[in-house]
Amino acid sequence: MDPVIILALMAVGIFAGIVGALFGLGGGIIFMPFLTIVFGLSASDAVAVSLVGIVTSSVGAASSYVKEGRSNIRLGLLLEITTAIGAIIGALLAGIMADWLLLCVFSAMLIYSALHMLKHKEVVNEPEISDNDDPLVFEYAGDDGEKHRYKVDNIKGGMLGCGAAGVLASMTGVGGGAIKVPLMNLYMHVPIKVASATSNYMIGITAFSGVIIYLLNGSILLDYAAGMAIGAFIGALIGVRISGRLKATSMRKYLAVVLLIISVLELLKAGGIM
Amino acid sequence: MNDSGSTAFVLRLCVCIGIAVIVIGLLTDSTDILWFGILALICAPFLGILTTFVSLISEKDWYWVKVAAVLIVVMAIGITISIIQ
Repeated sequence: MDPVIILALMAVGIFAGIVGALFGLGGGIIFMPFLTIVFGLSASDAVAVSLVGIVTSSVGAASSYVKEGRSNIRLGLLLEITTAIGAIIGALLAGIMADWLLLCVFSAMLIYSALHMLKHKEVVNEPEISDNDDPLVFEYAGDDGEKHRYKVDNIKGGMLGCGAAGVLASMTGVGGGAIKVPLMNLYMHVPIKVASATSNYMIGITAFSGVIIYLLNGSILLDYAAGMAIGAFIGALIGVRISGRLKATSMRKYLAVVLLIISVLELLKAGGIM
Repeated sequence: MNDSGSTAFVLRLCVCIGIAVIVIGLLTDSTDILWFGILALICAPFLGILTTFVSLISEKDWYWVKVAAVLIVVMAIGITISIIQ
């Protein structure tokens, strides 16, 4: 393959990796338009390559966040159960509901989440000492460098929400992280940096189930995937560094802006313009 | 090493091995090497779950051992359904 194309793929991967690592998004929203519009891949080829990029970005970021204790592995495992079930259901139901309707619902959820994040302060449930044995009480390092404890609220609703995210992601190919991060932060009261780091950990698991099939079927354009993966890894490392310097309040605002941009792009897609 | 440390180590090891093999594959223009590099990369999340599962067992954290076990089973079912389809 032409080295210029490899470098271009790496550049896209770096950008997507940075955004993905910062905000707990998979990067598919960046990969897909570039792969289809700029590189001219078919939708199915682009999905396969994008999934490799998503896994790489996710794992690259998660390896740092998990080590720092920012990714809540336990919570991620729990929420991934219903996400994976949702993805199975979504794959079986694919084609039953019109894509444009799903994308409109998805965009509406993102707009609501973004506006809520901009309008309201973060709510974190600080547990009582008697909650020490509660399996849903965890610790994280705040912006002040001190350890803080938090309790995850609304776990059943959160798991249902992740199930819906799995269905949507499976049916439309979008939005796992864009739903999960606001869901964890706004509804389950997980601190935003923990929510985005945990989403990074989860996205790789979700993407794994899909991409392994593509690889075993020989359906991945290996050189495209390779360039994208190298860039996504570099981008993830950069994103982790930036994330460490960003205050939680700023991250919430920037994420809200990113969610609004994603919602506009998805509405354009629903309307057949993109 | 606790579950976070060992999981982080496995994730970082897989992604570094995967990227290194991919770079070799690109330089030698070998699709077989590229394939193995990508395989190493994309298996990282699942190997991370297995590592966490083993660590949780060693920590005797039975609540989360069950959670990890259920997730592994659900993922195996999902992959099986995908293969059949």
